Amino acid sequence: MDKIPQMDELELDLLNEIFNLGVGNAAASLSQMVKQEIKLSVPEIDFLTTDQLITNLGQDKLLCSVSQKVSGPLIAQSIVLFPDADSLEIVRKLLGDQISDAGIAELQNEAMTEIGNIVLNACIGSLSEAFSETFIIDLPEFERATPDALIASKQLSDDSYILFIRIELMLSESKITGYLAFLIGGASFNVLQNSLRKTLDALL
Amino acid sequence: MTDISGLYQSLYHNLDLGLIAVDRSMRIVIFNKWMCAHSGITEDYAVGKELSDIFPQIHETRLISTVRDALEHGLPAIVSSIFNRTPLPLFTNSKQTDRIHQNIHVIPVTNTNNQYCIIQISDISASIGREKALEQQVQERKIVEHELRETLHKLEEASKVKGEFLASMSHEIRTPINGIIGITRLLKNTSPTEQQSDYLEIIDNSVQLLLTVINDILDYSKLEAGKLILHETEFNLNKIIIDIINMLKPVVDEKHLSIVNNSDDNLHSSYLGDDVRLKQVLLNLLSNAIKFTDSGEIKVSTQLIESKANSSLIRIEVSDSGIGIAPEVQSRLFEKFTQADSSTTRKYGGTGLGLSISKNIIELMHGSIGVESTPDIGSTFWIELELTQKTNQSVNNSNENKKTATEVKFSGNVLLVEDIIVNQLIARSFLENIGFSVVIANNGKEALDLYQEQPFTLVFMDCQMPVMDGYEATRQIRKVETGSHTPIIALTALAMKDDAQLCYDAGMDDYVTKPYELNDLISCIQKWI
Repeated sequence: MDKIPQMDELELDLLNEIFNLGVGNAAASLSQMVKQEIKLSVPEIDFLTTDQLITNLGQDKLLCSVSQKVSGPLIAQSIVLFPDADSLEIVRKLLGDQISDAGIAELQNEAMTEIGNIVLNACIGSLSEAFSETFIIDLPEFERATPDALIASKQLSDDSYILFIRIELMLSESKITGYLAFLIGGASFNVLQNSLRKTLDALL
Repeated sequence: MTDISGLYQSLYHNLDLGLIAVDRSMRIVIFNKWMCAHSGITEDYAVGKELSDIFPQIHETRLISTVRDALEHGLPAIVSSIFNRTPLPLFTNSKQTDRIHQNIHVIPVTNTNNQYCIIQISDISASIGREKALEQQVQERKIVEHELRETLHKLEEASKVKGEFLASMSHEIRTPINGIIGITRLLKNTSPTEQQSDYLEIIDNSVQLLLTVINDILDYSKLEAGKLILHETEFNLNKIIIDIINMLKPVVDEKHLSIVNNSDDNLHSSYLGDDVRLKQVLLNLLSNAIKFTDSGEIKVSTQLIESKANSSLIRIEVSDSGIGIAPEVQSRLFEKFTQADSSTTRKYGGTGLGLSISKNIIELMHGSIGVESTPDIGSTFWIELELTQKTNQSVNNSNENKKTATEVKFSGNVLLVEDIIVNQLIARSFLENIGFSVVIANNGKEALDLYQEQPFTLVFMDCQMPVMDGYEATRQIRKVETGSHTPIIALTALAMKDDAQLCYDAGMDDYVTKPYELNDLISCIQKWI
C-alpha cells in the first residue's frame, strides 16, 4: 500500500494509448449527444495511493462523481470526478443560459450521470477491446462528496491503488479540469499489468 | 420450470415500466404490456422484429449506439431525458398526442452464452412537468423583475433628464434676463422722462420677479439633483433679519402692515453657516407672511433655546395675522408645487416651490422647519437651527470696513473677457462707474494676446466663449504669467454642476454668478485689490 508497484515505460505508454482512444470516443459521443463540440485533452496517467489522491483533489473540496463498478478478469471502481462548481458549469454550458441556477442544480445529478457514463463506458470499452476481455459493468451511480468520503465509500480492498487520469474538458470557450480514477486492488493491478504485457508481446 | 417462466412473464408484463429485450442481432425477444399500451404496437407484432424496424426513428441516436455497446462490449448506459428528448415514440394516451418523457437504462445481460440487452424505460413526464412549471415560474419572475428594473431605470433617466432640462432652461433664461436687467439700469441713467421712468420701473420689477421664479426652479433642480452645496461663512444673524425687513419695507408700507422684530439679547454676534441660503429661507417666509396678510402685523422673533459650548440652538419664528392654513393642508405645505389651495396660486402668485426649497435648505443645515396655523387667525412658521459660534470676532468691525457702492472708487485697468455685446455693455458700465478703465476682449484668444501686451489690475473672465473658452484662456495666462499674480474673476451664468471648482481648477481666483448686481462686483473686487 505504501509503495506502488511500478509499470515500465512501454506498459504505461500502452495504457495511455488505451485511455487516449477511450477519451477520444467519449468526446465524439458527447459532442454528438449535445450537438456542440466538446474536446477532451490527451489524458495524463499516474498511479497514486488513496492518500495522495485525496491530497491531489483537495481535502475539503466538494466533488461530483459518477462511478461504475467493473468486475470480471479484474475488479475496479471506475470514477469520473469534477469539482462540484465546475460540474454545474458544464451542465449550464450544455443546457444553455435560459435555465435558472436552481434548475441547473436540479438537473446536475441526471446530466452528470449521463456524461460520466459516456466517458467511463468509452474508457472501459477501450480497455475491454485492447485486452479482448469482457467485463461486467454496473450502472453508473452519482454522488456528491469530499474526496475522503468518496474513496471510503468506493474502496474495494485495503491495498487499493489508484490509476489516476487527469483530463481537460473544453466546451464553448471554457476549459474544465476533471479526473478519471480507477480504484484497483493489488491483485487486479497485477491482472492489468499482465494484460498490458500480453498485448505488448502480441504487438512486438 | 415452465411455471417459473410463466411467473417471469407475468412479472415483466405487469411492471409499471417499459421493458424491451433484444438479442445479439437486435431482434426483439421481450416487449412487455406497458410498451404495447404506450407505443400502440402489439407484442405479437414486435417480437422477432429488429428494434430499428419497429422504431425507425432511433436510427443513429444515442439509444441505438448504447444498445450496440451493451451487446458488443457489455457496457451499461443511462439515456436521460435531459440530453435525449423522447427517444422512443411513446405516448400517454391512445390518440398519441402526449409524448412520454423517458429515462432509459440499457443493461447488458449474458444468459447461457447468449448476449442480450434489456432496455428499461421509465415514464418521468410527471417530474419533467413539475420541473417545467417551476422553471416557468422562475422565468416569469425574472421577466417581471427585469421589467421592473427597466421601468425604474427609465424613471430615473426621465427624472435626470427633467432635472437637466430645468437647469439648462433656467440657465438659458437667466442669460437674457441678465441682459434686460443690465440694460434697464443703463437706460435709467440716460435721463428718461417721468413716464419712461415709470415704464422702466415696471420692466425692472417684472424682470426681478421673473428672476425670482427662475432662481426657484434652479434651486429646486439643484436640490433634486443633490447638487446644492452650502458655503460656510461667518455672519450676524440679527443683521440678516434686519436687512431682510428693510428690504421688504416698501411692500409692507404699501400694504399698510407693520413688522415687529423681537431679538434675543443672548444671541451671539457671529455665527458660522451659509448666510446667503439662510437669508433666502427667511426672505421666503417673510415674503409669504406679507403676501398672505391683508391687515395687522408680522412678527419676527429670534430665540436662543439652548446654549452649548461651541454652538447655539436657535428658533426663529415668523408670525402673521393672515388667512391661515387649514390643518389638512399644513402637512403637505412643504411638498413641492403645493400651495394651500390652487385658488391661492391665482390670487397670490408664485411657483409653490418656495417652502419646499426652504425645507430642503434647512434640512441640509441639519435644522427643522414647521408651521402652526389657524385659518383666518394667522400662521406661525418656525425654524430651529443649531449654529456654530464664531468667537473672538467682531462682525461689526469687518462690516464697517465695507463701503457702500456709491462711495467706492477704484483705479486701474481691467480686462473684460466677454463674447456677448449686451453683457459687455453692462459690465463695462458697472466697472467704469466705480473708476476702472476697461479693455474688452471678445474671446479667450484675444484676452491672451492683450494680456501679453499690457499689465492689468484685474481680469473678468466669461467662461463659455467661442474660439477659446475662459478656462483655457486662464490656464494659458497662468502659463505665461511673470511677476505678480493677476486676479482672474470668472463671470459665469452656469449655475449647475461644480462650476466653482471648474473655475478654481483652471486657475481663476474667484467667481461672480450672472446676473450680478453692482454690489456683487464690488464685494468681489474688494477681496482681491
